[in-house]
Amino acid sequence: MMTSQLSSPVVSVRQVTYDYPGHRALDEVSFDLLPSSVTALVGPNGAGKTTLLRSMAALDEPMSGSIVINGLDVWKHPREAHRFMGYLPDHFGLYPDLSARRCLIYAARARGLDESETREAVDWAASQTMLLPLLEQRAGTLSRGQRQRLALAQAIVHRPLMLLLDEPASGLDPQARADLSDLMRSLAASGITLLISSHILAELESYCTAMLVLEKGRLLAHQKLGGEPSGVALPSQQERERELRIRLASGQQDAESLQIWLAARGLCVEPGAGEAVLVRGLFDEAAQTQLLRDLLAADWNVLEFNEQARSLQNVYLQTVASQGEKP
Amino acid sequence: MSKASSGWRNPEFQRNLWLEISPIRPLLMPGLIALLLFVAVAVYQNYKSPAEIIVYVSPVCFALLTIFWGSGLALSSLTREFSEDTWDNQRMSGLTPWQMVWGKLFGGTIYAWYGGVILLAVTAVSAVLTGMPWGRILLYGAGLVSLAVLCHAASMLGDLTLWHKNPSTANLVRPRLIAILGLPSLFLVFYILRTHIGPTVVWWSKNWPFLDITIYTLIAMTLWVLLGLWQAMRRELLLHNRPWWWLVFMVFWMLWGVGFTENNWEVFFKFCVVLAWFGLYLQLFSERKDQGAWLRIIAAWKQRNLSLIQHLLPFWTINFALVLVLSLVTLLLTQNVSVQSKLLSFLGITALVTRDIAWTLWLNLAPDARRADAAAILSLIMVYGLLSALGNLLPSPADALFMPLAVIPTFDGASSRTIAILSILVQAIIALWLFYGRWRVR
Repeated sequence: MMTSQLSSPVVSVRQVTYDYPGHRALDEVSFDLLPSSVTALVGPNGAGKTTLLRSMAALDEPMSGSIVINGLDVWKHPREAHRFMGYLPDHFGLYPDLSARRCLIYAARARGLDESETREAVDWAASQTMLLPLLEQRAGTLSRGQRQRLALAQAIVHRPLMLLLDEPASGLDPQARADLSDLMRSLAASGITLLISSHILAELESYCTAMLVLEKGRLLAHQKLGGEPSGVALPSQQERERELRIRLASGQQDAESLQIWLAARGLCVEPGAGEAVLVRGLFDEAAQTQLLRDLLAADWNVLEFNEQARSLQNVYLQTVASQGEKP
Repeated sequence: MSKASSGWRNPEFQRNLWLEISPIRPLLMPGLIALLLFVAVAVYQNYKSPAEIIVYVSPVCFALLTIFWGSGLALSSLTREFSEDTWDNQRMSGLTPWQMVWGKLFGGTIYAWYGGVILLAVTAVSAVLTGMPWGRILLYGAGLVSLAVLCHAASMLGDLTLWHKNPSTANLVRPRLIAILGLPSLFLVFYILRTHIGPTVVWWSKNWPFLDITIYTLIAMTLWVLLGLWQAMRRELLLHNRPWWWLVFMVFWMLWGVGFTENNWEVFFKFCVVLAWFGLYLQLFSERKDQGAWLRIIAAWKQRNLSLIQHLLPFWTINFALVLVLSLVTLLLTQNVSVQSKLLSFLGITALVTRDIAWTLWLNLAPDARRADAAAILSLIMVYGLLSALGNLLPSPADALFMPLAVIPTFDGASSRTIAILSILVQAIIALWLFYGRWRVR
């Protein structure tokens, strides 16, 4: 079990297990999310991502475990929990014969907003999703990207604290994906905690601050991404793990010799692009300075020495690979 | 429920109004009705007065428009949510189950009801002109409205039940067929019985006009179906239900039935056993029976969560208990049968019901259980029908091996009741063993 140690999480998932007939979709999944964090939920097909999101949205009840969002157990009080939750399923649902405005009015009224609140909420959700010029158009006549934004507007019209999104970028063209990235950043900035399932890791990278890796129903990792404060408290060793890129000046010394030299000092190394060597370890600033001093003292012609931003793709692949190596 | 979405300001009803009513449609309906009635009067004017013609034609138009077409519209108001992937949004909304029920039931069918109300008004005026008393007019009107609501609600209830049972294989044609053809046909049969029973019937020691009792029964059934739909909607909206309303439903119809038995308790309890048995199979084949459903009950039991257990408990378990209790009472009331024979018969009935349940559950635990219920129904039809018929051809006492109903003391078809009971006991043990084996494997 991997459980983040958090001070005041907005989401707390504990030991959630979900069984389909003859198949365990979620196996004692536990994690926490802090307010305003944007977490990528990644994993191969059939990993249990959608089941986890639906369980958190109080749509499909797990066999055991608890899911607490904003202090409320969603399966003990599902109707109350829905008040501060939004969910955008993979096949988002719209009423194609209604105008975008009426879709939003209905969503707001169905969420219990009164007439004056509804007007304000519709305008807010439409402006967040850049739909203001399209409000009088029928939902069925909108492009896929516009319909996707309308569905998202429906999901946020009641200003939820927590937004669950299942493959929001699937089927979108590059411009629509870029717009979606901006929208995600904007929603996170407005204080909404986001959990986003997606296969398109490059898209998630631009706005996610943390990553949950699911495989075969088990949570493999819960990691912070890049150096940005994600609002996700991570185990201390994870917090200091860095990837350094070292490149030597072209000449007599080669990258292979450097790899051997570094490995002899107990460091985890691997070849990088462009004749560089990648070093992973628990480097704080002092440790990085010391390593550079050691390299120079050993007469290595260091041309490049910098900390690598860990891409989501890299982190995911490393996590999956490291889990695969475990007996 | 918020103040904004209470009462008539139901967002679900309003959404359906947006979808169903356009500026043109309200003008079209009266024109169409006027045209139909005009043609009917023109065709039959030589035989009857216009009022007499309209009083017959209008209810037929009401049946076609409001009952048949309206049932399709009511069903669509639900099926469109599934097909357009909006159902999850509705489940996560703050709408109450009752708002959902009447918002869809009357919102989705608003156009059919618009025509229906015009037709009812035309029928009432014509009936007054033909000299029909107001009491009769109101009763017949209530019957027609009730039948329409019953068909609409039953089609939605059937669909919601199938969806809950298995969304991926819910055949959305079936509830429509059941509601549109099945329920009116049921009342048609009931009404036809009048020709055999006579214009009046004794119910609770009082003479009632047959049509009146039919309409009162119809109204009662409509109210129960509405309650059932509300309960099904509560379940979809993640609210916990109690199983006791189903028990009350069964008891209500038992009390309805006792009114016809003229204080013959043996007949009454036999009727109750048949009703409970029918309810058992109805629920057994309507409810979810996959292992997940059972694991949830077991998990709730381990947590001692009584509210959740009651919510998850399948209704057929209530009927199982009812069948056993009522069978025992009926056997005790049966005349000219020894106590030993009564107890043996009770053992046989228990084994018979257990066998059918275990067999159905075993089929539903198969790796691919999509057609498990169809297979169970087919196999039970074969066991009760075909094998029993074949059993009749066998010599005594082998015939009893194939006659499950021979466990009932008043059944005279088989040569040996004891062999029949032993045969059923062995079959029940095998069915339980099969079920247990598959449960462990899965």
